[in-house]
Amino acid sequence: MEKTLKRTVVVLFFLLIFGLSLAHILLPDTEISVSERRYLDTFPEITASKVFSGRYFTELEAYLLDQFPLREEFRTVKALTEFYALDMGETGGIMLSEGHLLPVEAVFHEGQAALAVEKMNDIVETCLDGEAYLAIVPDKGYFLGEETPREIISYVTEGVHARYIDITDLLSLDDFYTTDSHWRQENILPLARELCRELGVPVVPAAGYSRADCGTFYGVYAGQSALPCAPDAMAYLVSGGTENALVHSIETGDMAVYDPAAIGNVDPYDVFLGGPQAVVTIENPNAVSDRHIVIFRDSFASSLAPLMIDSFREITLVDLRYVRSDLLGEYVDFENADILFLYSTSMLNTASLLK
Amino acid sequence: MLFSSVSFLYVFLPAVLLVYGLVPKKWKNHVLLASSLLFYFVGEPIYVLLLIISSLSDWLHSLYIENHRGEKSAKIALVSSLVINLAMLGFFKYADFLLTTVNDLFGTSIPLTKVPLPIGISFFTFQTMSYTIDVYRGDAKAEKNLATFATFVCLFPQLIAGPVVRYTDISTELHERSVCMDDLYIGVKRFVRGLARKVLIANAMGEFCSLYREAAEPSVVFAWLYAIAYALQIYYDFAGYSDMAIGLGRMFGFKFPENFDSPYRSKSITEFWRRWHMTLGGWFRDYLYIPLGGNRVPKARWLLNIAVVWAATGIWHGAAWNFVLWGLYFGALLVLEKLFLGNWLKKLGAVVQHIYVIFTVLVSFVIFNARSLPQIGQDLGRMFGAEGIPLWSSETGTRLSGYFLLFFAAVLFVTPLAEKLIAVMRRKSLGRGIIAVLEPVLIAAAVITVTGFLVDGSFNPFLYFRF
Repeated sequence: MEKTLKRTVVVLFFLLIFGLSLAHILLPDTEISVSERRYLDTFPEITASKVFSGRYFTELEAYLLDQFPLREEFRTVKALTEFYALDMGETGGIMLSEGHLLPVEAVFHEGQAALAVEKMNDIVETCLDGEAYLAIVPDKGYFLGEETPREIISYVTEGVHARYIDITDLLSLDDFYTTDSHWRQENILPLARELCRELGVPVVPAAGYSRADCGTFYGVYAGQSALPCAPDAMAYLVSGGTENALVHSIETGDMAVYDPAAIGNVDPYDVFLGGPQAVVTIENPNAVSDRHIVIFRDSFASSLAPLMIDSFREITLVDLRYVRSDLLGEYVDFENADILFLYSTSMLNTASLLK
Repeated sequence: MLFSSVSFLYVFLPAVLLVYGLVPKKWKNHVLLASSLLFYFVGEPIYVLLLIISSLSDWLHSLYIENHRGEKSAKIALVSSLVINLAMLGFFKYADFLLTTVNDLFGTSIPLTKVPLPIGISFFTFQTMSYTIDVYRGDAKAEKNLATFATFVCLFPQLIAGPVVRYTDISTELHERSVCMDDLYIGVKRFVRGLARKVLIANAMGEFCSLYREAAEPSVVFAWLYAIAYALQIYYDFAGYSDMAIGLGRMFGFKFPENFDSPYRSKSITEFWRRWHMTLGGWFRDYLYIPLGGNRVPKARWLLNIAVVWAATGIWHGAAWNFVLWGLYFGALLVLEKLFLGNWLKKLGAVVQHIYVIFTVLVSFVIFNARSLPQIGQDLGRMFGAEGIPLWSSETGTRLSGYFLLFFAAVLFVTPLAEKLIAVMRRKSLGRGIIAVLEPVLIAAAVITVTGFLVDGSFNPFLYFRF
């Protein structure tokens, strides 16, 4: 028995290291990690300077890690070990609470929030030709009692020269995807209607919206944690406004409000208004008001703005992560326009990303 | 290159094992030498020349010493070899430390060399010095074959983090060795054990230490947990690396000396240092303490010998004052134990002895891990409630609950419990049957889990590289 045991141990070990090594050589490289939403490293180019500086071997290690056979499965092994075997309560910075994946509570970065306040006040001073409003989307942790989102909301609402519209009471944890940071559009129609009322525009009856499903997806936290979990179903709400509005992006040109096929993209949230875009204008000649609103936003507004189309003649979405604020005059017409700052707490806590 | 890296595990090791297994016996040392130089080149492309120069220098000096045995010139050759080794170590490791100290003391602004530290220089210079001294003393025969000698110096399993293997430990195997199924079995088991200790326990403990450093709400308990976590990290990190080195050596037919023998089970600091980094302790004993006269000298001289040896042990670990302090702290404890403390503790019983060792060792590693002398005061102070920090904080609770099982497992495996359980099982046929099934499963599971952590993880430091 002893002899068999020794042979088994040795054979198993060699099978593993030689087998995975061979698989690494034989299997074709993968271009994208869908779960992590990033391009994977390719085989590094050899140059003498890179070899003698040691940089080549660093790049080679990164390539080997990225293209490792069964990489996703190995990541899951780690996640399961940390989360269940070691009961660490989190893996890859992601925890599981009340059926939701969400990041471990971040520390409140006052300096970042101060940058956000400064940026918004600059815009109020230089661009405003109507009223200024502020609404803040709480992260999922807010609904689990975390302090950081509350600290951010308190700090920013006190500092920004705009009327604050509190939308936290209109949301609950169930209004967010379980594997992603974003809210579910099909759940936020009441919030959108309330927001429009606060912005002083009429709203169309909720019955005017119908739901359409576009499939399932794994959100950003599923990829980050590598924990096995059920995918989220994505749906969107269609109205006369969303069907007929004219949408234009300064980067990609004309597009539809929704692109259900984009659920297969690296970022499935591209379904809504083409995903991350610097400046998007939505025109609806049939809107119930002739008001124009400029929304300074992050990705949450991509699914919220379609629900405001019926109320505004024109909505302009500006994402300051992709366009410099001092160049806004070239792309955005602020005349007679109100401004709404709509940011999530996590965006406000990393505001140095705003240009 | 780290043993706990994908490039080592799944590229370098399989390739070397394959080529080593295929070539005829007379080429095996050459394969090991070439692969060892490549291994070092990956981490230190330029400094590989240093390794070659060091090998060449000690090989030539030792041949000269052997050919002029008994003559004055042999002694000169020995001194020359030691000066070259110590100058190399002094320049690359201690020059900036010395310059900084001079600048601090005299307010000068002598520019620093800013030369990067070659990986493993403390290990390979100590190994080559011991070889030349052994040849001078007649304890070892000078190696005639440069490739064989260079294989000893550069041998990748022990090149960058020990154990501090002496030429006499493996001289027979350098000339004649074979690898049987037993060697492979023991080697694989040992290697995988080290890999798991390093990747699954040491790295996690390191992450806990980082969390303490970043804590918004430190507490007394958190400070103690940090001290425990760091003591566990450094043990599992270094003992794990030694396991991997010993295991790899065995796979290639070498039997390296043991480096750790369950040090946290010790009942005195004297015993602790017989169980902790044994090859380094042995080196300082044989090549510094005994030549200085050991304890067969007047008391004042003996105290001076202890101070020299332990200051050297401390500074060997790093070019900073906290390491010197760490070494002298242990030197002082050893002196006290020899004078009276050892006898006192024996009378107080095993439990008190264990508490004494754990307490003094925890304090020592807080000193060891401090980034500056003031931080030693801060870290130790916090363990006793300095700065008005509370006994407990909610952050302490959150972090402890996240790492509780890891702490539990890490502490459990430094006790003799698991070993005793296995020994009991081996005595019964049912137990042997369970082991026969479980052992391969656990080894495969460990390799797969470690690979998962490597593929996904970015936190994979190795503490002893800086030494």
